[in-house]
Amino acid sequence: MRRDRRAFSSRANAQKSTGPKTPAGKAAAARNAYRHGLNLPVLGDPALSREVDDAACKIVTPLIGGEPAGRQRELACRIAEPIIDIRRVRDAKLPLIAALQADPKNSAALKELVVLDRYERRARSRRKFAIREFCAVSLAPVEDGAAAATAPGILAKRSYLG
Amino acid sequence: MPESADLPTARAAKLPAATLDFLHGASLTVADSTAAYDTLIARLFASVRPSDPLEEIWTREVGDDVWEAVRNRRLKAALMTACADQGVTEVLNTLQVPGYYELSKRWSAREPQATAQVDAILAKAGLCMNHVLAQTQRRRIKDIERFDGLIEAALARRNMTLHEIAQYRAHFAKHLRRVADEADTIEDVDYSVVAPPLAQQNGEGAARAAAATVA
Repeated sequence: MRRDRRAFSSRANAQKSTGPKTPAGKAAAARNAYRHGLNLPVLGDPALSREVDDAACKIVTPLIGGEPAGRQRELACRIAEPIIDIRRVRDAKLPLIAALQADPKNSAALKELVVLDRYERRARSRRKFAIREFCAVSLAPVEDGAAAATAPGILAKRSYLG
Repeated sequence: MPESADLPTARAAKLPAATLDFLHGASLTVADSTAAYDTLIARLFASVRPSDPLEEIWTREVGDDVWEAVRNRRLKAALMTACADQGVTEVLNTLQVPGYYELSKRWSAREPQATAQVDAILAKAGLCMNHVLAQTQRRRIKDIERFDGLIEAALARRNMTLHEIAQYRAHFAKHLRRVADEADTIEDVDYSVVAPPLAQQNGEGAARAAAATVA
């Protein structure tokens, strides 16, 4: 009986103390996930996913000496996706930096900057592994005469940026 | 943002014709010096000479990380300056100076009389501005730690990018060496033993005959 009463009290207290109560509080909490949208995958946005595809081609074409296709295109998109993410994080950080430059005592902006920094770190980590995988697949030494197929990539790389 | 010794001086920087500008978000605020940033990036490009888009991205990021670390150091220093009055308030309160709050506010407004009065009080107590700075730091330790974390993160990212470039270039060099070796092998196959010209054969025959005669 005592256990039941304790469980009842516990549930009642939890109901009292969990989550916002006022309509304004509920509205503010409902917007929590939409503050910067950096958790949303780039490929979920049609405009950004087109940009990813475009960026993938621009990054990888000079490396392999031609338009990427199949597996190479997939890996190229995996490189481009975090690059676009990093750009989004930087764009989100900029107003906070400006706010701090205007008032260095702005602790709220500083806290938010620290949070956004984590997103950049994660995106860079994703990009690092994507590049490694791309290099392992597209620039890896091969056993047969297929090595000749990657040689134009090297020539293209040499002529990059003049 | 004012110029300082830790960044290259602002001068006409000739940036390379970057092909991937669209990938980089805006790195500068209105308060940042565009000329100093451009000079930093141009110097990096001139020194490293990125040879493909990945290297270009990394080179820019190293520049951005350096810029970010410097900017955060400046912001941290600005925070210490902006909050110095809190340190003065703490010190004067500890010394039980009457009207310490108003005095510290006047001190932060750089009123000559208040500055002289605070200096005199500190000197009399055997304290100096370091004590004020220590108190300021104590009051804003959380923010200072956040700035330190951001600076460390920027430098760690820079080091990680440099490591990535080193690995990538090693991989590329290894691959290039292998392709070059294969090219050498192909040329070896193309070569064949060619018979010496007739005149040379006659010359060798005459030499052999002369040697036999001498013997």
